[in-house]
Amino acid sequence: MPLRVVLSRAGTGEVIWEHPYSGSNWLAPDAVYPLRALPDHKEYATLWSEGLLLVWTGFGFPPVGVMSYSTRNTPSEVFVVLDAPKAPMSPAWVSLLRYSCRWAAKQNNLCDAARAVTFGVFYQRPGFFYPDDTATRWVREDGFYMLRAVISRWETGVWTRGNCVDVSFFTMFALCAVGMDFSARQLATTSLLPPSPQCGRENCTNRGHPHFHTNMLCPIGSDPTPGDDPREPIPPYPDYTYRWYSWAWHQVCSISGADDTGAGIWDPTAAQKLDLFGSSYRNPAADHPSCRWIQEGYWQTPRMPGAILGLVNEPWQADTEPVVVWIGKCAVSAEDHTPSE
Amino acid sequence: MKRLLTVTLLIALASNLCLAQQPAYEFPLSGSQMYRLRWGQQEGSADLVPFPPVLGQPICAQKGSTLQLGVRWTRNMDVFWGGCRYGWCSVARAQGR
Repeated sequence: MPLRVVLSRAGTGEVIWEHPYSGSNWLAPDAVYPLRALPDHKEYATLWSEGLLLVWTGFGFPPVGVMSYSTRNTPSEVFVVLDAPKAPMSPAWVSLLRYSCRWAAKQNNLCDAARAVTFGVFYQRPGFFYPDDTATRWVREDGFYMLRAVISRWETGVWTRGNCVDVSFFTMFALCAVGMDFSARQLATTSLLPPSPQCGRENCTNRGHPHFHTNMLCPIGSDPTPGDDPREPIPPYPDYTYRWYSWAWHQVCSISGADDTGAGIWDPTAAQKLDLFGSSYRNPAADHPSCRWIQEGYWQTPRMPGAILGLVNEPWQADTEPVVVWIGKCAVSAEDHTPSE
Repeated sequence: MKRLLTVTLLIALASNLCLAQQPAYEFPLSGSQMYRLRWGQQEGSADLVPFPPVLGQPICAQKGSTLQLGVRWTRNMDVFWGGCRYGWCSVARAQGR
């Protein structure tokens, strides 16, 4: 069975490895042909083969012939993952792996891959965009996440509204599918401002509930690159994709089993303009050795009124904040779903 | 006689077209660190991707792991056509006859 086997990067077609034709050495029909090792990093690839088969023809002497075959036009999609997919993505969804393996292509460890997936969700176009009403749309009343409905809309070029619950659960699925065990984590605080207008900030629309004001965030679906900041004199454009929000709680991703305090945070719902050292960041928070986003710092840095770093701008947050309300995963459904607008 | 020959040729052509669209072989993939997949298109067992997969179906495997490719015949191609044995079979089977 002289054959050729090719593993290529999906999308670009770049050949990762290739087994050239092996000459005239026929393999026994029940023999298996060992392929080269898959890449030592996450990858979204295609695999195909072509070659010759020695076959029975029923005539001639010997009564065999040579038949060519090729699967070039029907290749396998190959999803190279860090580890076994984790629940609730076990088995993992092909439709989701097409995204998460592409987002984290070439990453070979949890830190790099988790950041790449978080950024991937944030920068997906078409993808999620943050709704003005801040409502959850893709988690059904029975707690099932309507994953197929989200992906099918993206595949037809339709943007989908997604608040922090929608986005963090989706990100959790994308991380679990490639072998990283992540959960969603709901963070809240008892240090809240009174409903508007008593909160003291003009234009605050949160009239119904105690809340906090965030620092300047660029919501998912918008462009977080420089617009730029008034503190940066050239060009003098307003950084119009950044704004503050009135929230009472927030949902993010963290590694399953992480303690209530000191956990790394991955939050694709919005980009932070500054990192926790005050340097320009303009990306969603994603804990990484090169730029830490640990829960308490992520929540507010420094702990003082009008803090400019982290999620919460005001009010001042006590050292015990945030409070972890809930950590967990949700079930997933492939049924169709049309959320209310 | 001429008409019979024409009909026979047409049947032969149709048979070949059918056979060409349905390969009698497939290429199973194996590996110690391959994982099951589902399409994510519907609820239920019909959503599962056959496992272990064959070439042409999606594959999920751990980074750095190795796969093996095999070949297997999916149906008996010994089609009796016009009284003559016509088809393909594996080398081992050919040698065993």
